[in-house]
Amino acid sequence: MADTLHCDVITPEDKVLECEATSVILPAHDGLVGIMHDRAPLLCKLGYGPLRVETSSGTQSYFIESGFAQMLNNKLTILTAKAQPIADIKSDEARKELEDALALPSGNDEEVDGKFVAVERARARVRSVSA
Amino acid sequence: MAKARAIDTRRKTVTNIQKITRTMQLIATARFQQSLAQATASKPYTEKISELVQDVSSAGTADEHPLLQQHDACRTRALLLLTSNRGFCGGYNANLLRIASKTLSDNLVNGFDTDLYVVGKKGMKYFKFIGQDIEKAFTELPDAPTFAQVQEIADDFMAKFASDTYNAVNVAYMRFLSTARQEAEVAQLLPLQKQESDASEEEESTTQADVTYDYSPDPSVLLAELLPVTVRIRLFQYFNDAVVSENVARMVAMKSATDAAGDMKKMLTREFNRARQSQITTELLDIMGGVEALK
Repeated sequence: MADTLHCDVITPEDKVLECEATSVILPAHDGLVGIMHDRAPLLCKLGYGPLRVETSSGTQSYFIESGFAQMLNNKLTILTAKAQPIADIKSDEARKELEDALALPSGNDEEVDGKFVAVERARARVRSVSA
Repeated sequence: MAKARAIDTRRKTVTNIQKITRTMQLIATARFQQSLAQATASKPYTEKISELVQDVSSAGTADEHPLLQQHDACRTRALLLLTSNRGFCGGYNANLLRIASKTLSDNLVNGFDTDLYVVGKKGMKYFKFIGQDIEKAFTELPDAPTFAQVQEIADDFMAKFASDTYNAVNVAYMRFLSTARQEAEVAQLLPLQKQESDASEEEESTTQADVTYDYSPDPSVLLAELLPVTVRIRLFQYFNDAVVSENVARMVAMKSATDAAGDMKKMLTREFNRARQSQITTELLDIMGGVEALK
Protein backbone atom coordinates (compact mmCIF):
# COMPACT_ATOMS: atom_id res chain seq x y z
CA MET A 1 0.00 0.00 0.00
CA ALA A 2 1.30 3.41 -0.88
CA ASP A 3 2.01 6.13 1.68
CA THR A 4 1.13 4.19 4.78
CA LEU A 5 3.14 3.05 7.74
CA HIS A 6 2.75 -0.04 9.88
CA CYS A 7 1.69 0.84 13.41
CA ASP A 8 1.89 -1.47 16.46
CA VAL A 9 0.73 -0.50 19.93
CA ILE A 10 2.08 -2.96 22.47
CA THR A 11 1.53 -3.15 26.23
CA PRO A 12 3.15 -5.72 28.56
CA GLU A 13 -0.14 -7.60 28.68
CA ASP A 14 -1.30 -7.46 25.09
CA LYS A 15 -0.86 -6.19 21.55
CA VAL A 16 -3.52 -3.47 21.54
CA LEU A 17 -3.37 -2.39 17.93
CA GLU A 18 -1.74 -3.55 14.71
CA CYS A 19 -2.69 -1.71 11.53
CA GLU A 20 -1.60 0.20 8.45
CA ALA A 21 -1.89 3.91 9.24
CA THR A 22 -1.79 6.97 7.03
CA SER A 23 -0.60 9.14 9.91
CA VAL A 24 -0.09 8.92 13.66
CA ILE A 25 -0.04 11.63 16.30
CA LEU A 26 1.69 10.51 19.47
CA PRO A 27 2.25 12.23 22.83
CA ALA A 28 6.03 12.48 23.21
CA HIS A 29 7.46 13.58 26.57
CA ASP A 30 7.76 17.17 25.33
CA GLY A 31 4.64 17.55 23.19
CA LEU A 32 2.70 15.94 20.37
CA VAL A 33 4.62 14.44 17.44
CA GLY A 34 3.05 13.75 14.04
CA ILE A 35 4.39 10.82 12.04
CA MET A 36 3.77 9.99 8.40
CA HIS A 37 5.08 7.64 5.73
CA ASP A 38 8.90 7.70 5.24
CA ARG A 39 9.72 9.56 8.42
CA ALA A 40 13.38 9.36 9.45
CA PRO A 41 14.21 6.84 12.21
CA LEU A 42 13.03 8.12 15.58
CA LEU A 43 13.32 6.85 19.12
CA CYS A 44 11.49 8.90 21.69
CA LYS A 45 10.13 8.78 25.18
CA LEU A 46 6.40 9.15 25.55
CA GLY A 47 4.41 11.13 28.07
CA TYR A 48 0.76 11.02 29.09
CA GLY A 49 -1.73 11.89 26.40
CA PRO A 50 -3.85 10.89 23.45
CA LEU A 51 -2.50 8.71 20.65
CA ARG A 52 -4.39 9.18 17.38
CA VAL A 53 -3.93 6.69 14.57
CA GLU A 54 -5.44 7.65 11.20
CA THR A 55 -6.26 4.66 9.04
CA SER A 56 -8.16 4.35 5.78
CA SER A 57 -11.17 3.17 7.79
CA GLY A 58 -11.14 6.04 10.32
CA THR A 59 -9.34 7.32 13.40
CA GLN A 60 -8.50 5.22 16.43
CA SER A 61 -7.72 7.05 19.67
CA TYR A 62 -6.08 5.74 22.82
CA PHE A 63 -4.94 7.37 26.02
CA ILE A 64 -1.42 6.18 26.68
CA GLU A 65 0.63 6.43 29.84
CA SER A 66 4.36 6.88 29.25
CA GLY A 67 6.52 4.45 27.30
CA PHE A 68 8.60 4.60 24.14
CA ALA A 69 8.06 4.99 20.41
CA GLN A 70 10.33 3.68 17.68
CA MET A 71 9.97 4.59 14.02
CA LEU A 72 12.13 2.54 11.69
CA ASN A 73 11.67 1.57 8.03
CA ASN A 74 8.03 2.71 7.95
CA LYS A 75 7.25 0.66 11.03
CA LEU A 76 6.12 2.54 14.11
CA THR A 77 6.17 0.62 17.39
CA ILE A 78 4.64 2.16 20.47
CA LEU A 79 5.50 0.50 23.76
CA THR A 80 3.43 1.73 26.65
CA ALA A 81 2.47 0.52 30.12
CA LYS A 82 -1.21 1.17 29.46
CA ALA A 83 -3.33 2.02 26.40
CA GLN A 84 -7.01 2.72 26.97
CA PRO A 85 -9.45 3.60 24.16
CA ILE A 86 -10.45 7.23 24.69
CA ALA A 87 -14.11 6.30 24.17
CA ASP A 88 -13.86 4.27 27.40
CA ILE A 89 -12.86 7.28 29.52
CA LYS A 90 -15.81 9.09 31.08
CA SER A 91 -15.57 12.86 31.25
CA ASP A 92 -16.90 13.24 34.82
CA GLU A 93 -14.62 10.43 36.08
CA ALA A 94 -11.61 12.15 34.51
CA ARG A 95 -12.53 15.44 36.19
CA LYS A 96 -12.99 13.68 39.51
CA GLU A 97 -9.52 12.11 39.10
CA LEU A 98 -8.07 15.59 38.50
CA GLU A 99 -9.76 16.95 41.63
CA ASP A 100 -8.41 13.99 43.63
CA ALA A 101 -4.91 14.54 42.20
CA LEU A 102 -5.02 18.25 43.08
CA ALA A 103 -6.07 17.36 46.63
CA LEU A 104 -3.02 15.10 47.16
CA PRO A 105 -0.64 16.21 49.94
CA SER A 106 2.63 17.93 48.98
CA GLY A 107 4.52 18.03 52.28
CA ASN A 108 7.91 16.62 51.22
CA ASP A 109 9.86 16.18 47.96
CA GLU A 110 8.49 12.68 47.32
CA GLU A 111 4.91 13.81 47.76
CA VAL A 112 5.50 16.80 45.49
CA ASP A 113 6.89 14.53 42.76
CA GLY A 114 4.02 12.08 43.14
CA LYS A 115 1.45 14.85 43.05
CA PHE A 116 3.07 16.42 39.98
CA VAL A 117 2.88 13.13 38.04
CA ALA A 118 -0.69 12.46 39.18
CA VAL A 119 -1.85 15.97 38.22
CA GLU A 120 -0.09 15.82 34.83
CA ARG A 121 -1.72 12.47 34.11
CA ALA A 122 -5.17 13.59 35.23
CA ARG A 123 -4.91 16.84 33.21
CA ALA A 124 -3.91 14.88 30.12
CA ARG A 125 -6.90 12.56 30.58
CA VAL A 126 -9.31 15.49 30.93
CA ARG A 127 -7.78 17.15 27.85
CA SER A 128 -8.04 14.01 25.72
CA VAL A 129 -11.68 13.44 26.67
CA SER A 130 -12.71 17.02 25.98
CA ALA A 131 -10.72 17.23 22.70
CA MET B 1 -20.63 -60.47 52.59
CA ALA B 2 -18.91 -58.01 54.95
CA LYS B 3 -15.60 -58.02 53.06
CA ALA B 4 -17.19 -57.59 49.63
CA ARG B 5 -19.32 -54.68 50.91
CA ALA B 6 -16.24 -52.96 52.42
CA ILE B 7 -14.41 -53.27 49.11
CA ASP B 8 -17.42 -51.89 47.27
CA THR B 9 -17.51 -48.84 49.58
CA ARG B 10 -13.83 -48.22 48.91
CA ARG B 11 -14.43 -48.54 45.17
CA LYS B 12 -17.17 -45.92 45.34
CA THR B 13 -14.89 -43.56 47.28
CA VAL B 14 -12.13 -43.98 44.70
CA THR B 15 -14.65 -43.29 41.90
CA ASN B 16 -15.69 -40.04 43.61
CA ILE B 17 -12.08 -38.96 44.10
CA GLN B 18 -11.39 -39.73 40.46
CA LYS B 19 -14.27 -37.47 39.43
CA ILE B 20 -12.83 -34.65 41.53
CA THR B 21 -9.28 -35.04 40.22
CA ARG B 22 -10.54 -35.20 36.63
CA THR B 23 -12.45 -31.95 37.11
CA MET B 24 -9.38 -30.35 38.68
CA GLN B 25 -7.33 -31.52 35.71
CA LEU B 26 -9.79 -29.91 33.30
CA ILE B 27 -9.74 -26.65 35.26
CA ALA B 28 -5.92 -26.66 35.32
CA THR B 29 -5.87 -27.27 31.54
CA ALA B 30 -8.18 -24.29 30.92
CA ARG B 31 -6.12 -22.08 33.26
CA PHE B 32 -2.89 -23.25 31.66
CA GLN B 33 -4.09 -22.24 28.20
CA GLN B 34 -5.19 -18.87 29.55
CA SER B 35 -1.89 -18.21 31.34
CA LEU B 36 0.13 -19.40 28.36
CA ALA B 37 -1.73 -16.93 26.15
CA GLN B 38 -0.93 -14.15 28.64
CA ALA B 39 2.73 -15.14 28.81
CA THR B 40 2.95 -15.22 25.01
CA ALA B 41 1.22 -11.83 24.76
CA SER B 42 3.96 -10.22 26.87
CA LYS B 43 6.74 -11.52 24.58
CA PRO B 44 6.57 -8.79 21.86
CA TYR B 45 6.93 -6.06 24.51
CA THR B 46 9.93 -7.79 26.09
CA GLU B 47 11.64 -8.38 22.76
CA LYS B 48 11.12 -4.80 21.61
CA ILE B 49 12.39 -3.32 24.89
CA SER B 50 15.58 -5.44 24.62
CA GLU B 51 15.98 -4.26 21.02
CA LEU B 52 15.61 -0.62 22.06
CA VAL B 53 18.13 -1.06 24.90
CA GLN B 54 20.62 -2.50 22.38
CA ASP B 55 19.98 0.35 19.94
CA VAL B 56 20.39 3.02 22.59
CA SER B 57 23.46 1.33 24.11
CA SER B 58 25.09 1.27 20.67
CA ALA B 59 24.70 5.06 20.53
CA GLY B 60 27.68 5.14 22.90
CA THR B 61 26.11 5.79 26.27
CA ALA B 62 28.20 4.96 29.30
CA ASP B 63 27.18 2.16 31.67
CA GLU B 64 26.85 4.42 34.67
CA HIS B 65 23.25 3.78 35.49
CA PRO B 66 22.62 2.85 39.18
CA LEU B 67 20.90 -0.40 38.14
CA LEU B 68 24.07 -1.61 36.37
CA GLN B 69 26.45 -0.86 39.26
CA GLN B 70 28.02 -3.65 41.33
CA HIS B 71 27.60 -3.06 45.07
CA ASP B 72 30.56 -5.04 46.37
CA ALA B 73 30.63 -3.36 49.79
CA CYS B 74 27.06 -4.33 50.59
CA ARG B 75 26.72 -7.78 52.22
CA THR B 76 22.97 -8.31 52.00
CA ARG B 77 21.13 -9.93 49.12
CA ALA B 78 17.42 -10.12 48.44
CA LEU B 79 15.72 -13.30 47.30
CA LEU B 80 12.21 -13.20 45.92
CA LEU B 81 10.60 -16.63 45.89
CA LEU B 82 7.55 -17.28 43.73
CA THR B 83 5.50 -20.19 45.06
CA SER B 84 1.84 -21.08 44.63
CA ASN B 85 -1.09 -20.32 46.90
CA ARG B 86 -2.61 -23.77 46.59
CA GLY B 87 -1.30 -27.34 46.66
CA PHE B 88 -2.19 -30.32 44.47
CA CYS B 89 0.53 -29.43 42.01
CA GLY B 90 3.02 -32.27 42.47
CA GLY B 91 6.61 -31.33 43.20
CA TYR B 92 6.20 -27.71 42.07
CA ASN B 93 6.54 -26.06 45.49
CA ALA B 94 8.95 -28.65 46.88
CA ASN B 95 11.42 -28.00 44.04
CA LEU B 96 11.18 -24.23 44.53
CA LEU B 97 11.63 -24.46 48.30
CA ARG B 98 14.65 -26.72 47.81
CA ILE B 99 16.35 -24.27 45.43
CA ALA B 100 15.47 -21.31 47.68
CA SER B 101 16.88 -23.03 50.77
CA LYS B 102 20.04 -23.87 48.80
CA THR B 103 20.41 -20.22 47.75
CA LEU B 104 19.99 -19.11 51.37
CA SER B 105 22.74 -21.46 52.56
CA ASP B 106 25.00 -20.59 49.60
CA ASN B 107 24.64 -16.90 50.42
CA LEU B 108 25.53 -17.63 54.04
CA VAL B 109 28.65 -19.58 52.99
CA ASN B 110 29.71 -16.66 50.76
CA GLY B 111 29.23 -14.23 53.64
CA PHE B 112 25.95 -12.63 52.58
CA ASP B 113 22.83 -12.10 54.64
CA THR B 114 19.60 -12.77 52.76
CA ASP B 115 16.36 -10.85 52.98
CA LEU B 116 13.66 -13.25 51.92
CA TYR B 117 10.58 -12.05 50.05
CA VAL B 118 7.90 -14.65 49.44
CA VAL B 119 4.96 -14.79 47.06
CA GLY B 120 2.42 -17.59 47.67
CA LYS B 121 1.02 -19.20 50.81
CA LYS B 122 2.99 -22.44 50.36
CA GLY B 123 6.36 -20.70 50.62
CA MET B 124 5.20 -18.57 53.52
CA LYS B 125 3.97 -21.58 55.51
CA TYR B 126 7.18 -23.51 54.89
CA PHE B 127 9.53 -20.77 56.04
CA LYS B 128 7.34 -19.99 59.04
CA PHE B 129 7.48 -23.71 59.90
CA ILE B 130 11.29 -23.95 59.74
CA GLY B 131 11.61 -20.65 61.62
CA GLN B 132 13.26 -18.64 58.85
CA ASP B 133 12.58 -14.89 58.98
CA ILE B 134 10.63 -13.51 56.06
CA GLU B 135 11.34 -9.87 55.17
CA LYS B 136 8.03 -9.47 53.39
CA ALA B 137 5.26 -11.81 52.21
CA PHE B 138 3.08 -10.67 49.34
CA THR B 139 -0.21 -12.12 50.49
CA GLU B 140 -2.51 -9.78 48.60
CA LEU B 141 -1.36 -10.88 45.11
CA PRO B 142 -3.83 -12.87 42.99
CA ASP B 143 -2.85 -16.15 41.29
CA ALA B 144 -2.00 -14.29 38.07
CA PRO B 145 -0.74 -10.78 38.96
CA THR B 146 -1.17 -7.87 36.55
CA PHE B 147 1.69 -5.77 35.22
CA ALA B 148 0.75 -2.87 37.51
CA GLN B 149 1.06 -5.13 40.59
CA VAL B 150 4.41 -6.54 39.45
CA GLN B 151 5.62 -3.03 38.63
CA GLU B 152 5.10 -1.98 42.26
CA ILE B 153 7.25 -4.84 43.51
CA ALA B 154 9.95 -4.15 40.88
CA ASP B 155 10.01 -0.43 41.73
CA ASP B 156 10.42 -1.24 45.41
CA PHE B 157 13.40 -3.53 44.67
CA MET B 158 14.97 -0.97 42.34
CA ALA B 159 14.69 1.78 44.97
CA LYS B 160 16.27 -0.48 47.61
CA PHE B 161 19.03 -1.61 45.24
CA ALA B 162 19.82 1.95 44.15
CA SER B 163 20.00 3.08 47.79
CA ASP B 164 22.70 0.42 48.39
CA THR B 165 20.53 -1.77 50.64
CA TYR B 166 21.22 -4.87 48.57
CA ASN B 167 24.24 -6.38 46.85
CA ALA B 168 21.93 -8.20 44.42
CA VAL B 169 18.28 -9.07 43.95
CA ASN B 170 17.57 -12.66 42.86
CA VAL B 171 14.33 -14.34 41.93
CA ALA B 172 13.64 -18.05 42.51
CA TYR B 173 10.89 -19.18 40.16
CA MET B 174 9.84 -22.10 37.98
CA ARG B 175 11.01 -21.42 34.45
CA PHE B 176 8.65 -22.66 31.76
CA LEU B 177 10.60 -24.35 28.96
CA SER B 178 7.83 -26.46 27.43
CA THR B 179 4.71 -28.28 28.56
CA ALA B 180 6.92 -31.27 29.28
CA ARG B 181 9.74 -29.37 31.00
CA GLN B 182 9.92 -26.75 33.73
CA GLU B 183 12.97 -25.93 35.79
CA ALA B 184 13.33 -24.29 39.20
CA GLU B 185 15.79 -21.47 38.60
CA VAL B 186 17.37 -18.59 40.51
CA ALA B 187 17.68 -15.60 38.19
CA GLN B 188 19.50 -12.36 38.89
CA LEU B 189 17.18 -9.38 38.56
CA LEU B 190 19.60 -6.74 39.81
CA PRO B 191 22.25 -5.58 39.00
CA LEU B 192 21.03 -5.83 35.43
CA GLN B 193 22.97 -8.18 33.23
CA LYS B 194 23.00 -8.01 29.49
CA GLN B 195 20.84 -10.75 28.00
CA GLU B 196 22.69 -13.53 26.24
CA SER B 197 22.08 -13.12 22.53
CA ASP B 198 22.62 -15.81 19.93
CA ALA B 199 24.36 -15.33 16.61
CA SER B 200 21.29 -14.33 14.62
CA GLU B 201 20.39 -11.63 17.14
CA GLU B 202 23.90 -10.26 17.03
CA GLU B 203 23.69 -9.99 13.26
CA GLU B 204 20.42 -8.17 13.55
CA SER B 205 21.79 -5.77 16.12
CA THR B 206 24.81 -4.90 13.97
CA THR B 207 22.56 -4.01 11.07
CA GLN B 208 20.33 -1.99 13.36
CA ALA B 209 23.28 -0.24 14.96
CA ASP B 210 23.97 1.39 11.58
CA VAL B 211 20.69 3.28 11.80
CA THR B 212 20.98 6.85 12.98
CA TYR B 213 17.99 7.69 15.09
CA ASP B 214 16.55 11.03 16.09
CA TYR B 215 16.72 10.59 19.83
CA SER B 216 14.37 12.47 22.05
CA PRO B 217 15.55 13.01 24.79
CA ASP B 218 19.32 12.19 24.65
CA PRO B 219 20.34 8.51 24.42
CA SER B 220 21.73 8.57 27.98
CA VAL B 221 18.41 9.87 29.35
CA LEU B 222 16.50 7.36 27.23
CA LEU B 223 18.66 4.50 28.53
CA ALA B 224 18.06 5.64 32.09
CA GLU B 225 14.32 5.42 31.37
CA LEU B 226 14.57 2.11 29.51
CA LEU B 227 16.50 0.15 32.14
CA PRO B 228 13.82 0.32 34.89
CA VAL B 229 11.27 -0.79 32.29
CA THR B 230 13.54 -3.74 31.45
CA VAL B 231 13.65 -4.75 35.12
CA ARG B 232 9.85 -4.48 35.43
CA ILE B 233 9.15 -6.53 32.31
CA ARG B 234 11.71 -9.19 33.30
CA LEU B 235 10.07 -9.58 36.69
CA PHE B 236 6.67 -9.71 34.99
CA GLN B 237 7.98 -12.51 32.79
CA TYR B 238 9.21 -14.45 35.82
CA PHE B 239 5.74 -14.13 37.33
CA ASN B 240 4.13 -15.25 34.06
CA ASP B 241 6.47 -18.24 33.80
CA ALA B 242 5.67 -19.18 37.39
CA VAL B 243 1.92 -19.07 36.74
CA VAL B 244 2.18 -21.16 33.55
CA SER B 245 4.47 -23.71 35.24
CA GLU B 246 2.16 -23.97 38.25
CA ASN B 247 -0.79 -24.75 36.00
CA VAL B 248 1.22 -27.32 34.02
CA ALA B 249 2.35 -28.94 37.27
CA ARG B 250 -1.24 -29.07 38.56
CA MET B 251 -2.45 -30.46 35.24
CA VAL B 252 0.17 -33.25 35.28
CA ALA B 253 -0.38 -34.02 38.98
CA MET B 254 -4.13 -34.25 38.53
CA LYS B 255 -3.75 -36.40 35.41
CA SER B 256 -1.58 -38.92 37.26
CA ALA B 257 -3.99 -38.83 40.21
CA THR B 258 -6.89 -39.59 37.84
CA ASP B 259 -4.90 -42.41 36.21
CA ALA B 260 -3.89 -43.84 39.58
CA ALA B 261 -7.53 -43.73 40.73
CA GLY B 262 -8.51 -45.61 37.54
CA ASP B 263 -5.92 -48.31 38.26
CA MET B 264 -7.04 -48.58 41.86
CA LYS B 265 -10.66 -48.88 40.75
CA LYS B 266 -9.76 -51.76 38.42
CA MET B 267 -7.88 -53.53 41.19
CA LEU B 268 -10.72 -53.03 43.69
CA THR B 269 -13.27 -54.34 41.17
CA ARG B 270 -11.16 -57.46 40.72
CA GLU B 271 -10.88 -57.93 44.50
CA PHE B 272 -14.60 -57.31 44.93
CA ASN B 273 -15.50 -59.93 42.29
CA ARG B 274 -13.17 -62.41 43.88
CA ALA B 275 -14.63 -61.78 47.37
CA ARG B 276 -18.17 -62.06 46.00
CA GLN B 277 -17.32 -65.28 44.20
CA SER B 278 -15.77 -66.88 47.28
CA GLN B 279 -18.77 -65.78 49.34
CA ILE B 280 -21.13 -67.52 46.86
CA THR B 281 -18.94 -70.63 46.87
CA THR B 282 -19.02 -70.74 50.68
CA GLU B 283 -22.81 -70.32 50.71
CA LEU B 284 -23.23 -73.07 48.09
CA LEU B 285 -20.99 -75.41 50.10
CA ASP B 286 -23.07 -74.64 53.19
CA ILE B 287 -26.27 -75.55 51.33
CA MET B 288 -24.68 -78.72 49.94
CA GLY B 289 -23.50 -79.63 53.42
CA GLY B 290 -27.05 -79.06 54.76
CA VAL B 291 -28.57 -81.25 52.05
CA GLU B 292 -26.04 -84.04 52.75
CA ALA B 293 -26.84 -83.86 56.47
CA LEU B 294 -30.59 -84.23 55.82
CA LYS B 295 -30.10 -87.44 53.79
